[in-house]
Amino acid sequence: MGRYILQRLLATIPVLFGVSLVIFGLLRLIPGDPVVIMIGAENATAEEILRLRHVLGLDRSLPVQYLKFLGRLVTGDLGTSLSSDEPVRQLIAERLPATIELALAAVVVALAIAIPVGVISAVRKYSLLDTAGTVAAMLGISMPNFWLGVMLIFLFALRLGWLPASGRGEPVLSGLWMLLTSGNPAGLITAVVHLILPAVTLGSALAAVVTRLTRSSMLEVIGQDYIRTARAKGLQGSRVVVRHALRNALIPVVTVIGLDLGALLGGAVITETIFAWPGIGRLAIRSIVQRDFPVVQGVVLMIAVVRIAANLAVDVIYALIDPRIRYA
Amino acid sequence: MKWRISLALAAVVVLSWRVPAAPAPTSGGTLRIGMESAPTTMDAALSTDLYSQQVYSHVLEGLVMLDPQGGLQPALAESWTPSADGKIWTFKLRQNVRFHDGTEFTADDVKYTIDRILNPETRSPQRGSLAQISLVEAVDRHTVRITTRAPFVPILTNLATSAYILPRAAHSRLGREFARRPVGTGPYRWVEWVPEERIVLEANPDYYAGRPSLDRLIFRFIPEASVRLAELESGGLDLIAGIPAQDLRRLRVSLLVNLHEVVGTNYRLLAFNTSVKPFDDVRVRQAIAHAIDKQKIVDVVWPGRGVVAEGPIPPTSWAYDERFKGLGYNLSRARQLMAEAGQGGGFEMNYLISATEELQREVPLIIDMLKQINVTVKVTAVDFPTLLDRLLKTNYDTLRVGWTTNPEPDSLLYSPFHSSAIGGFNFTKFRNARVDELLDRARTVTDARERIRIYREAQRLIVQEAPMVFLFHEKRTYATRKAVQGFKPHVSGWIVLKTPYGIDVKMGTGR
Repeated sequence: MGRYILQRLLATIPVLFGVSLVIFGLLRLIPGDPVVIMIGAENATAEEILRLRHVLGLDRSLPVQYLKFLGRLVTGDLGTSLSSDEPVRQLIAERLPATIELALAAVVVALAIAIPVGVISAVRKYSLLDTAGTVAAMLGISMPNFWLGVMLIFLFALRLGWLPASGRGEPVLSGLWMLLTSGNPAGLITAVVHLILPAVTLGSALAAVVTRLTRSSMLEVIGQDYIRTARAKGLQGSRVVVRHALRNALIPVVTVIGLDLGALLGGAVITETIFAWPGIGRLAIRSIVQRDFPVVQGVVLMIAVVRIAANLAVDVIYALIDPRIRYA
Repeated sequence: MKWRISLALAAVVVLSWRVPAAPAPTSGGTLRIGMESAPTTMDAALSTDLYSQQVYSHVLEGLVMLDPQGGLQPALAESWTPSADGKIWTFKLRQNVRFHDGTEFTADDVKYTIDRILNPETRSPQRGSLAQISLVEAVDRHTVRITTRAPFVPILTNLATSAYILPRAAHSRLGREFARRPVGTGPYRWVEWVPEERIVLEANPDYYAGRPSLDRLIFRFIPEASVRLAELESGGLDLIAGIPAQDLRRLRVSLLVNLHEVVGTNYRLLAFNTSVKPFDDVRVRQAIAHAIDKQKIVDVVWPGRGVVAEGPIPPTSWAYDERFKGLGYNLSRARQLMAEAGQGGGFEMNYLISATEELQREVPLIIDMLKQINVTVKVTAVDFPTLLDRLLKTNYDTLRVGWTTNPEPDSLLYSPFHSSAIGGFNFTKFRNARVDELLDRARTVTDARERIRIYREAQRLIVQEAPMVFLFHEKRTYATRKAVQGFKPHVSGWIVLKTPYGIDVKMGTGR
């Protein structure tokens, strides 16, 4: 197992190299000059634009710029932002926890909805509950995030006034820390109420996919011989479903969750924008508009790393859930 | 299923009828401000973006500042006088002013700040607007002398927008960290910055013009306009900038919020590349200007958000000419000009726009209007940085863009229309010797009435030559909850809450 993980880690190096080359190239292919965007109408003279471009090193040839970028990258340095002159690593590190928190919360929401609904749909196949679950799942898949998010804000924040419309309030971890150290739940409550709407918005599509997957996977497992054997032995119905069937039915679900967690971390951009969630998606959008090349490169590389890590984690968890799976 | 859905719909309808409760009296005076985007840096020398400025302008101050109408007001300088040749400006600084860290503000800090912006190593995008400065001298502790290469009157406005004074000692000590927790002389002191989430400031009790009424400011960054508005209406924010057009009418009669509008110093325009056929012919350009019904564009696409432009100088500018009429909607004149130019049969016109929702609604109107003079419009929509790139390279036939500057007419007119800026922001390649002469002269004249006269003449010539069709001036919009008192919208889109010259926003109680 250890050797397998090491091999997989080594294999990520060429992948990351490819990602760095593609993102560097793509960013330079699209038109738009960061200096012109920075400098603004009042200050813009041709002379100033050239001068600033030179100071920022943007007048050097692209291969030279790429090699400099790569040279810094191997030492773990992602460069500095063109627009704020701050280290890209710091900009990402400050925003990553918020994105991770949101993505995990979305997965929790998705699982909390999807597994029970999927199991019930499978056990009570073609019942009214099953149909309702199917319709809800279809809605969940089809509804775009930007629409669902705005509707949730309209209903729960503006009309009912139950939940805040936007923002993060407090990190969950610091809320939890406050509760454990001083017994004050206020921080955790603030964190959770701010998290609900964006997590539901981001998690809805995943919930829908996982519901369908759990249902079909459960149906397959329930039809197998060992389930019949378990029932024949007189085991309680719910015990058979949860202990014997669900455990095996969850393998494809774990795959999808693992892969989607990677996608959620990189793809929370729309949800972060709607709910003013202070994650890396916001940084990415702002940096693309400002053509802040080092920041965009850093964010994309970081997302690539996360996805690779998520894939690896899925493979490892496989082996833990199903002991029959072994790596050569 | 069906009845469940209709029940849910009924619930929504009933809920939307609920009258919003009167807000409780606000405590102690915290103003929560919703901005469209997060700032990038609090180092004023490193940014020109509006959102950073909206925050750091409460902490840092310049020698002079602009009031909401764009007029000059004393800030850290009490008074200023030009030399007879107009090249040297002597500023008398306010005395007994302290930075938030307790150190005294002196002429040294002014020299340090401006020298730093002018130093190319600082990589300041503000450098261009101060590039006319050749020397900054600290004459004594409270006197600064600024020398420009040539007489340059707009330097005062440029100082207000580009030279926020840093404390030499604290800035040297903090280095890069300063951009994260600035120290200034302003009415508010730094508290905290949670990236992408919020910035918190608190009242500076020792502010030289008196402690501000508001105890705390909380800036929050919410990119979605509808969500910003929802936060305002649900009581999560007290002041927001940038109101969606479709909400303006509703907000005008709202019981919860006040709407504030001001015409900004900008113009929205259709530009011609005057170096390509057929747009090198002034008659073709004039014909297109006459064929466009600007009022209709404002009414359909920008209702309540724009006023029709006669020329580049907006009604809020001190150089505005209320009697001046530009090239108005006149279809028969447009057809006649096309015929005179030998283009009666029309032609195909490539039209470059940035892909925003409003512009995509504006385009069909333009297509329709120009069809009346047999011009077929071919639209290309790109993202804004791409448009800017092609604009600067004059790699287009016609394009649609906005020009937004500080309130100084020099900024409105010089770089888009002076021939020396061809290759820079004179993106229409417009060249007119008389306009060049006027714009150069306006920079050297200190007499305000003479400057007005010069800019008005320049505007007349520019509009007649029609390198652009001046469509409309866009309004800046803000909304505040009723409890907010004393707020005035600023032509530059800034948020001004406390000044030495009399603005002091307060939080009342109740609505």
